[in-house]
Amino acid sequence: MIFKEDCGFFELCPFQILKYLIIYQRCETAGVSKGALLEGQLVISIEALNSKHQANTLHCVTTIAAAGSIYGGLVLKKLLEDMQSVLPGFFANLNWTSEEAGHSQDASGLRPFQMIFEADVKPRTLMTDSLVIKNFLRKIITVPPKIRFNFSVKVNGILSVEIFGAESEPALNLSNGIALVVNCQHYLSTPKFDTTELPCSRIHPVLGHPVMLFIPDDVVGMGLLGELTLTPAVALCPCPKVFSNQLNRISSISIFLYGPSGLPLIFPNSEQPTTAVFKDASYFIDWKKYRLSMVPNLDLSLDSGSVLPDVSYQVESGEGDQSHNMGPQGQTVLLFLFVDFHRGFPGQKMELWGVHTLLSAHLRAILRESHSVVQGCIQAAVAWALEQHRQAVKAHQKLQASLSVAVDSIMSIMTGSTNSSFRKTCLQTLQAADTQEFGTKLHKSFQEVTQHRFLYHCSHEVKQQLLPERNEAEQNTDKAHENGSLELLAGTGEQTENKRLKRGSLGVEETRASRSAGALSPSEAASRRAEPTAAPLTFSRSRTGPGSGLEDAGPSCSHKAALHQCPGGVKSLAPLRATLEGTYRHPGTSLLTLMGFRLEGIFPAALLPLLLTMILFLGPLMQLSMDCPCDLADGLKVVLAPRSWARCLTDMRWLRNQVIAPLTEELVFRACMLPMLAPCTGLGPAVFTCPLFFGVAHFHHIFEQLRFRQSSVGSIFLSAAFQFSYTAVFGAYTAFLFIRTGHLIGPVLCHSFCNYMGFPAVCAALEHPQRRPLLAGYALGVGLFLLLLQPLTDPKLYGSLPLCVLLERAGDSEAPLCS
Amino acid sequence: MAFTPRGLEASFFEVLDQHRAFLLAALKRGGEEPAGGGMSLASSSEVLSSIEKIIQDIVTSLARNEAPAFTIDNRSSWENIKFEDSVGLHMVSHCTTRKIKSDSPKSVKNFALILKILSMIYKLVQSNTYATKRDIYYTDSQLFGNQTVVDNIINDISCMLKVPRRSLHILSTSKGLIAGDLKYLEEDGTKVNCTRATAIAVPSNIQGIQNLITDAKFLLIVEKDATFQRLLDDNFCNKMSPCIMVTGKGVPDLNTRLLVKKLWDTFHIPAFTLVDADPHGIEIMCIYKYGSMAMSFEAHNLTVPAIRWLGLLPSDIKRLNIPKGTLIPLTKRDQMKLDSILKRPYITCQPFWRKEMEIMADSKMKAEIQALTFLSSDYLSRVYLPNKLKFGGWI
Repeated sequence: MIFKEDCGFFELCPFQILKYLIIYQRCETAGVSKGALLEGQLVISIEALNSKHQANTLHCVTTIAAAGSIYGGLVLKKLLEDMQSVLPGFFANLNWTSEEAGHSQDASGLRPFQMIFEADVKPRTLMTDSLVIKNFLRKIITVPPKIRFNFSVKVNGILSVEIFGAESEPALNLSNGIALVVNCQHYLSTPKFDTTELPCSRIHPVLGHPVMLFIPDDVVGMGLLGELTLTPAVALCPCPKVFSNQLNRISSISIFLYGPSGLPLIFPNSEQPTTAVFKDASYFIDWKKYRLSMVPNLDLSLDSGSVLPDVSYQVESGEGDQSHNMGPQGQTVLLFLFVDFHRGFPGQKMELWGVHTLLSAHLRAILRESHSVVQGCIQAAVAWALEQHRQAVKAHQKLQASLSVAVDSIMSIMTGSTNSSFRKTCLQTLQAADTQEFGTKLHKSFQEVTQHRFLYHCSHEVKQQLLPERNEAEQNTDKAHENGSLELLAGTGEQTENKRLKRGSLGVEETRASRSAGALSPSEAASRRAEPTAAPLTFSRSRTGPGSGLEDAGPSCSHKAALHQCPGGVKSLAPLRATLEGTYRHPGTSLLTLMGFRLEGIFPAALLPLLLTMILFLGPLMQLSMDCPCDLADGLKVVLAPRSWARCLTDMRWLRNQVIAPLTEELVFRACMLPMLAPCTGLGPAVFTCPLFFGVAHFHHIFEQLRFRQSSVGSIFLSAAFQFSYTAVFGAYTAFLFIRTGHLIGPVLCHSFCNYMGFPAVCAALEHPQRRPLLAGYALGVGLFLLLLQPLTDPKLYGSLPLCVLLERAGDSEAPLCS
Repeated sequence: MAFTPRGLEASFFEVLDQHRAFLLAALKRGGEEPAGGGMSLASSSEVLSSIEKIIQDIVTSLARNEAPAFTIDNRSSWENIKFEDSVGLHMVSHCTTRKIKSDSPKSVKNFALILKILSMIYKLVQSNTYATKRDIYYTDSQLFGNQTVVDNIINDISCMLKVPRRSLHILSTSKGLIAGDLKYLEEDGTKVNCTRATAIAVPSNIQGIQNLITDAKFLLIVEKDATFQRLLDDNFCNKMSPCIMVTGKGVPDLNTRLLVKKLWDTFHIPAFTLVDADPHGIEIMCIYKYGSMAMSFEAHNLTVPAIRWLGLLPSDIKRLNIPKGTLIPLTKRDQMKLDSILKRPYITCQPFWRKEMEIMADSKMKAEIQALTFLSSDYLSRVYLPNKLKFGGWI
């Protein structure tokens, strides 16, 4: 098909034909189901050569050809007829050869077709025209028909080809049956954003509610029938998330007008009166609400890589802050206005054609008539889009703030940690050389990880974006492993907890008792009580009654001889017998007095050693008073209350620790043992040998502990050794007291007191809140004790010492303890 | 006071002593150590290392390019709660968990805040210093927004690390009060004597108090501060001496519950609750006795199943002929709460409680403790409580 064209409106012809073809295609495909949509390529090529007839003029040959199967059912003759009816003054010759050639080329039987225009035009016109055509194509493909356009211009042999097509790109189906390509590169006018680097390369159109347009009477008369609707779609470009780290300002607004079937309504180059409506920037949107003042943007160049808006406004530059606030970095509001009939197409292609022309002509009047409705609807859509933008910015700011808090916290733990292996592992995991690098890497990977998620969000459809996060509170029941270890942890925790509670429940006295040296079980206490009662009996019998083995051993032996034999061995019972004989013979040193039961000096003997011991325990006593929740008056009240005494006396443990154990132990190990040992070993060595027995006597705890396996064998023996050593020291002290005072009462009271106090809780003292005075008390106590040890136990205070008297008589006058 | 109680003959405590003996026997029967897991006080190094482990996990998952997340036991569902008569409500070992993700816009803030508080805890534990929840909130009140956010996060962390709050070196200012025959020593060596006329605030460091001394025959837990003060004014503590009174001023805080638990564990004295005869009062009593859902992960340190309901029983309202005018009708919310309590697992082993609650549900009336003042101004302290205690009127 060849059109010979010499009409003056060359520039319009390709448009009209393209438009017609697209309308035609849409009408055809409207009946076809979507899957069978025809696809293919439309080739538009302009070949221009310097005209031979006129100087400075190009002879152009424009070819529109369909490749593939776009216009399968196209009947050329009918097309031509239709075309002639809509484009008057347009004539064509049919070139059948070309058609047949096409027919033979296509095996599928579908006829490709070709139209050729020829015209002589000025170079400048050609350039403008080709730009206009390009723009038209761009605009078409944003509301895509499934066609690719191959546009080539060849001027004097120099070829430039551009292909327009968006059929494979993601598109958002708007509810009015039209899809909108959401790839933002179509709308970005400048290549300043490298689309590959943008976190989100899409626009997210917000579809407004369609409103009915009121058609003025005069227009109705011209054949615009049916209900006309306008559907706005608003999007921000580029995606708000690109800039969301700063609250970005809107720099411009672009309005795109689409007519029925998604065809562009206004041709930017033609000075149609429709645009007059848009001269007023706030005709549709009240920008004052957003504190923006818009002015029409006249600086629109056809030669940009993006869709040229039908109308564009830009923010009026205010006080010169354009440079950093708006400028190229600002966001563009894309406003798509779809004018369409309420119920699809009004039947025939011809009518559609006419409607398009009519709409283009009367859009201004229609819009003006329905001004308030249109404004309300657009306002709402814009407001929503901006609100979304605001929310996105807020969410992003929140995310950023949270991330930096998280990173700071991790860094603070990392840098503050004293665990070097932990620090090392952290650094290694992120392959960072030092903490600073670790910090930056941490921040970066956090950004990446969350950004990824953020993008995922972004690629969703508009409406889903508004849905609340659902999988946030995700339930996870598969946690068996963790809980296993938890149980283990909890189990051990329980044990220690109960130990703690047990200790607490026994109360103060009990804890002290268990710490004390002579913690015995009641049965042992009983057996111990039996021992000393038995011992005096034998002694008294030996003294008085005949038939005793001791008595028989050798009454003829003199004390002197006996004492002299002593170093030879304690195996011989002779010294003992001699001693006992001696005591028997000298009433001044009777057995009872020898054992420390006497009245002479009993008061100082009861008080002074106790005082001395209390001085030694100055520190622990201070600690006790600090730890006691009662103050002195309360404490005294409690101590003096008959009730508390009654409680003590009925408490077996108290009786054992405070009365029976001290009495019996002192009786056996001091009263009975020392008078026998001293003559053999001398007083000094006796003081140190006697407590060894006392210490050994506490070894039975080992068996008890071993039997019940209360702790490891090592620690049992360790504690036994410890106990042995301090009981030995304590024994030495009481033995010393016994010898120096010649009374049993002193050691018994001291023993009872020490049992009550227990071994000084030095560890607790070291961690005590009032550590300093306490430790000073400890030191002072020990110091005073050492100072007063001699003077307070001076034998002169306690009358004549039976043991010393005994030893003196035996001729051992060397004993330094006796003076 | 250690002396014999003034104006009370020894027989007064007979029933109480029997009750105590019964409780002790039950305790022995159940074994000295209650079964199940609890949280021990973790050592500082354990807390530090578990925080370090969490950080390491986060770093590792970042290195793997995965979004890090915290996994926390779900503490808001009855499915995760097990009831045991000897312990109360405690968390089942295989409970469901929830995730706090770092890459969801909703939870990223929570995630960051947990990390922030973790870092603060880390510092506190490292330097062996303590801070209150309020302190933590004030360090960045702008960021946290409000105190509940901080409280929830601290509970979450405690649950996540399986460590009691105390080990995180976080304290809370106690709102509870205590009065009566109790002396103890605070961790810093301060001597506290609760026998004074005025009540003493529950110490904020319950684990640290030591050397508790009491002769008390019973522990009375009072729901409301008003009642508590009223009893103090009536000199109830001295009249019924020796005894201890505690109030949590409404829903008890952790410290008050810890104190009640400690008193029980130390002395094994009978504990009674005096609450309003309304669903809210019962709820509070249940918290003391069986614990709450939110703190179920620490139930072993908090619950005292030996607690008994002393008053005000819904049946008492009828028995004492309290006129209808002083009663308050149950609101819709009360009804709902009552129904939800009746559905809880522990009610099955408390038939008497169930009966009382059914009485309340039937009469559709509730009563405050103050309703007793209608009978006489000091009826509560002079007649009601002494009689209840003397004749064992608890359930």
